[in-house]
This record gives sequence, C-alpha cells and structure tokens, in this order.
Amino acid sequence: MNEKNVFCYVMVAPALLITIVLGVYPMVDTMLISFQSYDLLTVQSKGTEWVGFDNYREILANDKFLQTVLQTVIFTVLAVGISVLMGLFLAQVINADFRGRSVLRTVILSPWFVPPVVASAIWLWLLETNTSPINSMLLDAGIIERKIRFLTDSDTIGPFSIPMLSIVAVRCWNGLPIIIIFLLAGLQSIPKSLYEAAEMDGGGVWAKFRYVTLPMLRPVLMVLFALLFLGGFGHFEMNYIMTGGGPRNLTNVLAVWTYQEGFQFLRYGKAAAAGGIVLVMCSIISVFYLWAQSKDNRS
Amino acid sequence: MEKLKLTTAVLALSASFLAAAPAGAESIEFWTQTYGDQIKWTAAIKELTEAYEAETGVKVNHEIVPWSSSRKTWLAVAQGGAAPDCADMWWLHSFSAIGGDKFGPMPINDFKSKFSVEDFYEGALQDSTWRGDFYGIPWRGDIRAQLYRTDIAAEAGVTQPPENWDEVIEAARKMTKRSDNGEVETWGYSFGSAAKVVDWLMPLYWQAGGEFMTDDGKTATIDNDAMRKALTFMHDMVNVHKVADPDAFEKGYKARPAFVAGKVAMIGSAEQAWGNRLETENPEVDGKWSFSRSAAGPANRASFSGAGYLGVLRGSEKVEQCVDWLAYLSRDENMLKLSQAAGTVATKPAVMATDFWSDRPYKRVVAEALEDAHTSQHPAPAWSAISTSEPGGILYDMIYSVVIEQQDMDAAITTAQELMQAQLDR
Amino acid sequence: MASIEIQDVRKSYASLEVIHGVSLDIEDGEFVILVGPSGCGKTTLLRMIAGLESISKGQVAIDGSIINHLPPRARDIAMVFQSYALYPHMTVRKNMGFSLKLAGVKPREIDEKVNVAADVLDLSHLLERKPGQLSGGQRQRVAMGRAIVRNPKLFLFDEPLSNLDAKLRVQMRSEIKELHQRFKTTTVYVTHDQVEAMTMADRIVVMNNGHVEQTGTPMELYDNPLTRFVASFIGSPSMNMIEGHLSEQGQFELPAGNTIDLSEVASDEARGQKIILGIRPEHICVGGQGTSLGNAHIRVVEPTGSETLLFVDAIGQPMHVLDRTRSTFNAHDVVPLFAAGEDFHFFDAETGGRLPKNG
Repeated sequence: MNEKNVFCYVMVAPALLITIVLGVYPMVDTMLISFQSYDLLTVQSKGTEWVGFDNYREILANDKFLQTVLQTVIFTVLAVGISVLMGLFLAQVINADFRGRSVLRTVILSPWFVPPVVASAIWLWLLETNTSPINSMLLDAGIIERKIRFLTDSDTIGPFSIPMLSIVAVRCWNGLPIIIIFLLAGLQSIPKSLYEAAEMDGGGVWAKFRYVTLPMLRPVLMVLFALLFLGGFGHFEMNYIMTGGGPRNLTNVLAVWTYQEGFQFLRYGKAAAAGGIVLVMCSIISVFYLWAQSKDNRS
Repeated sequence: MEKLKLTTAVLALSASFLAAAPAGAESIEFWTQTYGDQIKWTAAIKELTEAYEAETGVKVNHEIVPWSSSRKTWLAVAQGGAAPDCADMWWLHSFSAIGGDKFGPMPINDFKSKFSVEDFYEGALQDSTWRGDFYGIPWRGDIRAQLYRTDIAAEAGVTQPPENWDEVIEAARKMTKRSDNGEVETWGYSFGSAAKVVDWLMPLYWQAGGEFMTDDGKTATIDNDAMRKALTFMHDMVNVHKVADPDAFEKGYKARPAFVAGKVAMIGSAEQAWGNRLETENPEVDGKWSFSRSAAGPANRASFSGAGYLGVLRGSEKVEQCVDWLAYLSRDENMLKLSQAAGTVATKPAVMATDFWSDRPYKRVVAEALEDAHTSQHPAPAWSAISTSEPGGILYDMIYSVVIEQQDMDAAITTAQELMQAQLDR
Repeated sequence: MASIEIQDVRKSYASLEVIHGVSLDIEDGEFVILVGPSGCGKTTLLRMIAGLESISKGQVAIDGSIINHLPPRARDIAMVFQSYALYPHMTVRKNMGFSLKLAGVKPREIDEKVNVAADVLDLSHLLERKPGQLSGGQRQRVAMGRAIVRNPKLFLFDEPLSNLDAKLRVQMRSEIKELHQRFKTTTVYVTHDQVEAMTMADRIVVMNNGHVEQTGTPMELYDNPLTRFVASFIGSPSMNMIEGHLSEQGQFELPAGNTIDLSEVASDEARGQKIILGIRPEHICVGGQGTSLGNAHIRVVEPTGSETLLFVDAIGQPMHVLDRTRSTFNAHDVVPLFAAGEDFHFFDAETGGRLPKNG
C-alpha cells in the first residue's frame, strides 16, 4: 500500500465513519429488531426473543397497514409525477429569455428555502377549514358554496381524497425548486443547434420537446426519478404534522405509521418490520434504476 | 524527543478533562420542563437554586427539557440514556415499567419521612406512587374545568353556567350560530382544547360513573353502561344536536384561537393554565370569559387532573443530596413560588389557600374544581399506549368510530375492551 | 429548386447594426458561396435566409414570395450545420428520415427515400448506427443525407467542412460539388476558406464587416477585384500590396526611395496621388521581361514540389514571389524581379477602391 493510497483512505475515513455509524449501523440494527419481539413495555421483564418473520406476517395481515403501503405509493407517484411535469414546463419558462425573468426565477425558487417542517406549519394554517384565506377567496368569488375541508374531508373516490391531494400539493410546492434546478441544468446542456436542426426539419414546439428535449434529458430525469421516489417513500413531516395520518387513515404513509407504532404504541418490533418493508420498496426502485443504467451503457 | 512531547501533551489534555469532570462533589443535575414563559420560569428556578446553595452549599445545575422533545427524552432515559440526578417528571407508571430495575424513576421509600406527605392532596399523591412505592412529591396540578364565553352566552340568553349534561346541551344549542347557507359560524361546544380526543372522553366517562381499570392495573373495565352513556353524549353533541365540530377530532385542531375568535363558545374540559394565558396573551377577550366547575354527569362532576412530580432517577449517585433538594422545594413557600411561576395549581391545600390563588375569579373556580379532581394517570404501564390520541390508539379508534364514523357502539366498545385487556396483559 | 432575392437586408442586435444593407440575387440552381473573415456577417446572413435569425429590415424572397415572416419549417429549406447537429439518440436512418416523419410521410416511403440518399452518400452500411459511433466524415455525410432526403427548394451549408482534417476536406469538396451537379438544387454555402470558395462556387459573394465587397464568378474576383480587401482575400498566397505615390509622370515612388516605372500602365485618374499597387506572387517572374521591380534579396525558400514560394525583400519591403519554373533558389541570393504591366492592380490608398488602368 503506497503513500498515495494511504492518504486517500485517511481522507475518506471520516465520511465513511459517519455513514457507517449514522446510516449503516442503525439500519442493520433496525433490521435485527424487525425479527424480534420487541415491546418496549416488556423489554426489561420479558426480553426480546427471536420470532423470525412473525412481525412481518402480522403487519401484512393488517388492513390499515396495507392501505398505508398503497397510499405511500400513490402519494409518491402523484407528488413526483406532478412536480416533474410542472418542473419540465417551468424549467423551460425560466430558461427562456424575457424581461422580468429574474423576478420570476426568485418567485419560483423561493419554496426551496422553506424546510418541510416549516412548510407544513404554514400550509396547515393556510388550509385550516375555518380560517383558510383560500376558502374565503373562493367563497367570495362564488366558485364554491361550502368551505372546502382541505385536511379533514373524508369522502373518497377510489383511493383518492381531498386531504391526500392537499398534501400532495404541498409536497409539490416544496419540492418543485430542486426539480427545476436539476432540469434547468439538463436543459442548458442541450446544444442549441439541435433545436435549430429540428426546426429546419419541420418540427414545432411539441416535436422539439418530444424528440430533442425529452431524449436529451433522459439521464437527468432518471436520476431525478430515482432520487425522488427513494425520498418520497420515506417522507414523514408533512403527513405527520398536517394530518397525523388521518382522517380515517386516508393520509397515512409508511414513515408516519412506523413512527406511531414505535413511539406512541411502543411496539418496536413491528415498527422495525415496517421499516423493512420500506427497505424492500426502495430496493426495487434502486434495482430498476441500475438495470436501466446498464441497459443504456450497453447500447 | 518528538514522541515524548506528544505523549506529555496527550496526558496533560486527558488529565485536564478528568479534572474538569466532577467540578464539585456537591452539585446535582436537575431537569425540568418549561411552564408559562420560559425566561420567567428559568429565573424562578434560579432564584430557588441560589437560595438553596446559600443555605446548604450544594449547587443545583438546572437544565430545561423542552416539551417538544420531552417524551422522547424520558423514553431515552428509561432505556439507559443520559439521565439527571433528579427532575420534574410525569407518566411515572409507563416510564418505570419501561426502565425496569435499571433505568428511569427511582423509588425513594427510605426517604419518605423527609417529606410531610400528609400536607398534600391525596389525589395528587397518586401521581407519584406506583405499585405501593413512593417516588417523590407531586408539585403541579393540571385541573381541567369548563370554560365559556360570557358575552356569547349573554347574547344567547344563557344566564348561568351549565351544571349538568342536560344544561350543557341546552346552552350549547342556544349558543350555536349558523349563517344563511348552513355553515356554522359559532360552535356552541367543544369537548376540549388540543386534539387529544381521549382526554375528552375521560372526564365524561368518570362523570357517568365509570373507571377504566381495576386498581391493580390488570383488568380493563370499559365495557359497561357508563361508557355507553359517555359515548352517546359525545355522539349526540356532534351528530344530533350538532353543536360540536367533527373536524375537531382531526389532527391540527386548535381550540384556543377559535375560542378567542368567538368561533367556539364553550369548552367542556379546558386546562386551568388557559386562565393565565388568556390574561397575558389575549387582552382582547378580557372580561368575556369565565371558568366554571365541570358539569355533572349522571354520577358525579369529576374533572380531569394531571400532575407532575419531582423525583430521583435510577443511576444517580447523589440520592441523599437530591432528596434534600426536593424536600426544600416541597416547603409551602417554595411550592407557592413554583406555582406562581408556572401558573399551575399547587398540590398542597395550604398553598391553594393563599392570596395568590384567590385574587381572580377564575382562580377561585379552579381551587373549587380541585375538589372534583380525578387523576388521569392509571396504574398500568401500557396506559400511555392505550390512551394515546393518535389514530390506531385503542380508545381513540373507539371514539372515532362511534362519533365520526357512526358505527355500532356495542361492537366498538367490545372490541376496545378486548384490545385494551390484551394491552394490559403485555 | 428556387431563386432567391435578397433586398437591402439589415440586421441589428439592439442598437448595433451588424449587417448593413445586403442585396443579392441568386438564380435557380446556382451554387453561391458567402465568404469572408470571421465576424463579417456571412453566417448571420445565412441564418436569416434559414429563418433562424429575424430580419431587421429588408426582404428575402424565394421564387418571388417574401418569406420574412415564415418560420423555418415553412420555408422548405434544408440546412447542414457546422457541428452537424445530428440527433444523438437516433440511428442514422432515423436521423435522415426525421423530417419526413414529421411531415407525416408513410414509413415505407421514408425507408425508400432514406435508402436512396444513403446509397448516394455511401452510408448504407451505417444506417443502424448512432452518431456517436461514426467518424467526423461519416457524420458530415449523414448531415448532408438528412438534407438531401427532404428534396427541398434550397440547401444551406454553414461551414460544413471546417471540422474535418485537410485531406478529408479536399475529398468532401469534390463530393459536395458532385452532389450539386447531380441534384441541381440552389445552394448557399458559407465558408471562411477562400480555396473552398474558389473551387466550388458558381458565384462568390465576398463579405466584410456586414456588407458585400464584391459578387462575381471565381475568375472575375481573381482577375478584377473591386477593392483592396477582395484583392488580398482571394488568391493564395495573397496579393502583394505596395504603398507609394504615383506621380503625374506615372512613376511609382516608394517610401524607401525606389521607383517603379508604370507610365504605360497607369491611367490618368490614378496619377498624382497616393495609391496602393497590387501584384500577385504568381505574376512576378525572376528574370525575364516586363516592368522591373528591382533586385530582390531572398530570405526564405519554400519548395512545394510543383512550385516554389519565395519570401524576399524587394523595393524596400517584404514580398512574396511564386515561381513555377522549377529553378533552384537559395537564401541570400539576389535576383532581379519583373512583372507584366497588365498584371498590376491599382487601389485608392484611402478608400481601397479599385482605380482604372490602361489597356
């Protein structure tokens, strides 16, 4: 091992150490807990016995848990889909040249500076049925007759409900800026001459988007989707702060369910099992992403 | 030579750390939550610690545990995390069970004689006793009584605070105001303040004559007539008389802004600490509100009461010093100081009889309500999990399914009884 | 196939005018080359014809219809970009067929047309590859193939050969010329290389600083440059420019003191003023007859096989002489120089404009 290698290892060591201590070790520990019967109230007296997959079997047999899993997926798909679509559009808008562009850029990027917790608090106030300024505006304008119960209306169409859509909207609002930045960077790396060639070949706005922009953005979009889905599955703050998973479990997501199971009901074993499910879901995304990458590299 | 220098430096550094560690054999770590204004609270404690140090030479290091992380902190302490020597604590039963013999609250039976326990309210002492063991002295109460808007009541022709459930219904109906399109402008009744739904059920259930479990904490006793009466009352207020907002059962509900804005006229079980807060933070409603004793149910007029206590933690090596500090705090004049700083009711009749607790009308009401106090703590470690007001909590789900989803009451109660018994068997 | 009429076209960016009133008529089937130094406006003019830049003033018409406000895709023009601008994620076949696909042509027809064009350009074996897997020359041909497939009214080329190495460039020059002879589509071609211009164009348009210096066939520009700029731009190695004063008697006096007798060649108009005398290196002979240019001191000899380029000091300044007699020369030799009278060019010292000569 020569000097240069030693130096490299020493430089990498702190970051590696932090990752192992704060990331890998808790993950492994949690996975171990998920295979044990770990009830906080009886830990001292009964201990933690190994129960294999029992925890998993129990939570997967629970209707509420399954509903939560489904909702986690729906939330993430909706939030990611809508914000990427809007991001594609808005990125093109800020990429174009026009007066007042910097003002518009600041406005579009401002939600980025609001941490999710603060965003939740702000929107919780903005969407509270009785005091919501949105409700007042809509009522005054005559667009609605009764106040919209953004976070408490429990009517559903299939798996969708108004509280779910409200939280999806807040997630989009909060996450849009970073998506736009990513896409903007991607857009600016597309050579202008490709658009001109497409123009000469007879392409209009839609053709240029479909045949030049989208294919050239593919690598950026893939990374973006992978990151957003992985992050989205584990999203906690907004659902917990704004609705706590209600009403009637309609906005429950895996992270909230896990939190409540572990810290309210003190059943660590089951909470860890839920964590295991999240791990499986994220692994599927990662595998898919890696497969798509290798396909690209091969071709 | 280089190596020698390095070694010397390291040794010197470690020595300085070790030297710095126990700054004085005579100092104890004391943690409290915050009450009322944090700055005033910290100053009040400081006054007490300084006076104590002057008297005994023992230094008390006071640290604040914010309420937002309080539960997690004590959960960690109960599982072996960093702990102080003594502290202002709550949920004795749950944390003791979690900590077992190794961590968490420490019983101090041997030192019971240092405290004149007979001078305390008996109900309050329940909160610092578990399985027969003595853990410390209760110092604050949280008594909840009825709170209502006098101006809205006067407008609606309600001349006296309601004394029983029927009068509550009548008053609430009168005070509920609707606009032309049927939207409610003022709700006549709200069960309680923050969305701790189970806290709302508890006094109603007791008022109907029920208890949640046997004294030994081993058997659940919620499948009975009293529960049906309490749940019916809640159900009807929302769906039959339509004087209570169903949205209040969802997370994020805050009664105080609504009360101040006049959108809620009456709160069934409001913390007495609101008195202080309304006075200091909402002068715009001065003179427009009043406390009254809880309305009586079929059996009694029990009021929700919680308490915090001062105790010692397992693992402390300064038990005697802690006990002395706590005994100092338990003196009448010091209990009064704590009560004043926190705005919470005291746990000794002597303190409640002072001027401080009789100079305002609401305070007098609160002192009276202490007569109706029923502790919210229950002798089972699983109680905190059973009574949590989050979806998935046994009692929460029961209330929600009956009141909001309007499902079969008998089935809901039976299910809850079974689940609760399973929890008590944990 | 189409004719193009460019009338007094101007282009400004904000308040800065970069193209100052260019007018040009291009006939159907002509191969016109816009040539000039960097920044002269040739590419801007080309892009205005394409529709990729807006026209600030003036008109451009194709076959008589004004196209100023038509978007590029409505002008039926195909363009070959300097960077080729091939779609990196599409195969060669798809690249070439893209415009047809957008136009809604049936897939079978697209395939046929692509195959034909690929055949012409020797690309048939590369149709399933992606641009990233092709060499520079192959990509260039794909770019051309993309243009050919459309069979448009007009081809535009924007410096298509500048990214290729010298040998490939020579080969592609003749290929492009051949294609033009075959398809006879009107072509406007931009380059900064005057050799390309001379060898490929039917007509050349020399541009400088946003205006047209001269338009004409290659030989016209070579024989009769209208300005000093055109004279030194066309022809390689470039024309020798000599400053001096032409007396009333037709004696050309140089600052260093030498004199050249131009009495038989200089017109009356040219006399009595400061002028610039131009003489091409290939028109100067070592020894022989004609107007004497004095003795030259050879500094560098550059033989290229068929001809020899001499860097000399003569009549008080450095000059180039191109000798085709295959004589042997050495540095430091002193040789007499002569030039024929009709090979001299006279330019006004201030305006650079051509002055007439006798005979």
